[in-house]
Amino acid sequence: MSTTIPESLMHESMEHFARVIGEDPDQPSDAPPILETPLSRRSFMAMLSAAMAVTAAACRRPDYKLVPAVKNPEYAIPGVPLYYSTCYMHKNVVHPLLVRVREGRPVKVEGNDLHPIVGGKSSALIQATLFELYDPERIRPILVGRRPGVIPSGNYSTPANALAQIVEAIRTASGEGKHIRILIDEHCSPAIETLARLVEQHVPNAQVVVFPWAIADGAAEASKALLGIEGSLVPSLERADVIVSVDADFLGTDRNAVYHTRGFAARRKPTRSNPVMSRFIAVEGRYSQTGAAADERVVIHPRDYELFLTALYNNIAQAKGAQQLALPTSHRDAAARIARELLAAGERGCVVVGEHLSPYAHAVGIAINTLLGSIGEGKVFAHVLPMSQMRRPAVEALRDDLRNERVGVVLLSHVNPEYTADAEMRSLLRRVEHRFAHTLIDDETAQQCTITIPAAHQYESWGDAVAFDDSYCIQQPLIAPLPVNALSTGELLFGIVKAFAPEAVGNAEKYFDYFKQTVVERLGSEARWEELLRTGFVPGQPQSLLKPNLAALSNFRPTLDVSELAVLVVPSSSVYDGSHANNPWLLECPDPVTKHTWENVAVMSPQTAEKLGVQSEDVIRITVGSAAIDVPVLTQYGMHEGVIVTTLGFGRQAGKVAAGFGQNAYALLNAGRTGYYSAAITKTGQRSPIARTQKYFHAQFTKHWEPDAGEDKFRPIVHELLLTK
Amino acid sequence: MFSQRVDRILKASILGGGAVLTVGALVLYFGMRNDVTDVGYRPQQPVPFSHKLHVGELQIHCQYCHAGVEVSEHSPVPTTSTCMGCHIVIKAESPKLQLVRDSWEKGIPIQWRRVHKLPDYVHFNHSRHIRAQIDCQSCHGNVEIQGVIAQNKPLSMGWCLECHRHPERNIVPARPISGIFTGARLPENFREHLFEPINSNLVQGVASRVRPISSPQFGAWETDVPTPTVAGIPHPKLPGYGPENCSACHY
Repeated sequence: MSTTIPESLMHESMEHFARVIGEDPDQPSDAPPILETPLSRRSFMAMLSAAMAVTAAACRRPDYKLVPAVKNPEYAIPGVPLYYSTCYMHKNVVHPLLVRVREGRPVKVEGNDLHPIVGGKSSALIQATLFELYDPERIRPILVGRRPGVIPSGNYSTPANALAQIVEAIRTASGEGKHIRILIDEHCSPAIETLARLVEQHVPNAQVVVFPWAIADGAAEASKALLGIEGSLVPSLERADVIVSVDADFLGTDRNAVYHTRGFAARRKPTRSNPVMSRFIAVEGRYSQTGAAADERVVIHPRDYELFLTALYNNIAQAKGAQQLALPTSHRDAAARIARELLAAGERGCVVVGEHLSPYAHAVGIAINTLLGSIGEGKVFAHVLPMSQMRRPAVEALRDDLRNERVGVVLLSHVNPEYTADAEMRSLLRRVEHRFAHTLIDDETAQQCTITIPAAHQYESWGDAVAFDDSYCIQQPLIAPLPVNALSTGELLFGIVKAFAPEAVGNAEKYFDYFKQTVVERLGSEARWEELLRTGFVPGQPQSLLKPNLAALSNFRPTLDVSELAVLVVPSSSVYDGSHANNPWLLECPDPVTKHTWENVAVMSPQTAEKLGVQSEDVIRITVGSAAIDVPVLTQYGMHEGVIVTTLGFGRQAGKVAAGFGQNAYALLNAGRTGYYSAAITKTGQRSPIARTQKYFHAQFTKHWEPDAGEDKFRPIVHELLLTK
Repeated sequence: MFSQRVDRILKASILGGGAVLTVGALVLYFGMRNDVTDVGYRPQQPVPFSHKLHVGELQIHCQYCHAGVEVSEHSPVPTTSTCMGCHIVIKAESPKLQLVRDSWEKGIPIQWRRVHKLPDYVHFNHSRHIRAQIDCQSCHGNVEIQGVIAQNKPLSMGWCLECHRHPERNIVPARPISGIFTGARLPENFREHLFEPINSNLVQGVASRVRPISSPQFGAWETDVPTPTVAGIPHPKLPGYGPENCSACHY
């Protein structure tokens, strides 16, 4: 039997069905529509049954998969962590590490406790490097042609292809007589150093330039003249009885702070076997973390640093029978007193000069230490930081090259001139025909480049590093590169050398083959390579320091000439020079003295603020020459009047986390040199709240609440009153 | 005597109470049914692997394949290389092992289907239970007579707590086949008793030095071997009940 649906029922609208029974469908009905909804009854039923089906299906057990490996990695048991020894290179300082790896993922970083420098310790910055490994903002594909420029046509799907295109561009440019400049960050890796020399040897007109984010050349210049070794000296503070620091922040922002903190702390706890604590005198105008640990702080204005050092030198020279300096001095009383303490300590006394100070200050520091006898093997100053040469000459030579439009290709690896360099350098670099970037995240420089290759993190690549005690540390990968197209700096340089002269890298097919071959050659045997991977380092033979030549001291003249209002621009205690800026763990990390987070501020004493007519959180404009930045004021006790401190590393424009916080203080620097600058301050009339984690002084130094108390009195923590009152 | 409101309240409370009871009964019934707790869940595996053959007949002990269970939170699922360790020679041509050979040659892992799954808000540490000498069978059943593995116990909170409170009623003491270290020195003929819990009859030769744990009596055997660790693995703690505090299992 077949059923025929009446014509009158073949309507789709609900309204129609509501009326059909016994009615003429063409006659309008008075009855209101049953449901005023676009949902028809059929679709409602369909959705209801679908919902029930979904509910019923949800009760069924989902199909979970267990996917074991095909071949189990060595020693790996799922659920049991493994520890690998590796290292992290922070600029030219290596941190030997022991990293916990769970199921192939590095999860926790600690210092390698076998290594004498770090002894199982690490710093906030090293802890936070893990975030940079897993940073969701890391570049994944190879970025091509985002900025106008000549882009070699070709395939960019894999790093090998992209490298081939870069090599082609280099070949063409060098064939035309143009210069090739490869800019890399400061490092202490013998492998990268060797590859850089190979590039210069085999690629015509090519040069690998170490292009630091911020420059502090004073120590290297002084030690080159006085010691014949270009590099900064590393004190071993556990050997010192009397430490005098002149604006050195060796417990804070110093790259070797982990080592210095250990050495310093070792002598600050009297034990039965060694009951004498070391004595630490900090001479500074700011209030640094290091100054906070001092037994005595001598607060002087930065422009007196060199004069004070001269006075200190003259006092010691007089006692030692050396020739005094016929230069102006200041703070002679303090200098005489400190000199007596240093002389009493003899070779166990030392003067540590801040890395951002002038070559003269460092030269005088070396001279004082020489007279005291604290330089030499087994003494306080026994080590030189590797690869801490002067950086300015190479950077200025690069500037000349760029000015003369001789450069055809720049390859920028882990450097960010768009953020750090001055305006001239930036515009010169942008004018280069081929600009290739190699970076972890899409930073300011990468955005101005024609091709950007994602960089492999240090925890993802093979490498090596040498520490100041000449121990040779291995950097072994803990995980395959998370962006599959990533290359390390070593792989990049290796690829370029291989394309021009395969025999120079032993005809190796892969970077690892070449790298392992060189390391095994260095160590002598395959067994020692295994041992190196296990322990993370092999001890070395430190360079012996030559007899210092004090005559060279006369070549140096005081140069620090700042006005009454001096601004100090140094790397930040959290994000350092900005190379770690896009890291929320570090941005959250408060400044150890002021406890402010997430931005850079103008730290000054309350007296200075009062003189300028500002208070905390008022935004001021700091003008140095033609450059200016607007930062909020933060008052801090213990600073010399007229000293303002602000830090580098903030004011980024790239990076979702870092962008928009603080101001770029690189603008204030002269050719990237950190240190003191004469500043002019103007009020902007704006206010900007500062995020601080601790407001300790609120309790202690709030204005007195009693009506009869004078204005200069502060509220005591414990109130004392007479009962008779 | 009563106002009309009382009538309404009475009706409402009877209805409401009835509804609560019904919902409660339904929740209890469906919440505790075996098919809800997945007892008997026995998915078809990509490779027709038989525990009955490997454990029951060939007497390969559990930790040969699930190596590392005594130190790890997880019971590791064997890698393809573990299978190929034997099957590169034994039954090397079997069509049933085609997937294993493919996995080995192409380097593509086998996707086994998971049978035992705890909710994400609890953790279970295999090594803790192994070190307490609780036999695999206590939770996984007689795998030596199962062909394709199935879920044997409800793995519900009530079931966990029941055992933590009364281990003596629930736990199968360590058997030689499980490869759990017991401290007991097994006799020469222990292979005949692979699937039996170790008891004083079995270890007659050293029975004088092996005695069952007095209170509570479950699982472990005490010996006079004064070894706090064995091959780096801490030897069984003092006998005791399982912990009952929330954070013992819940995150």
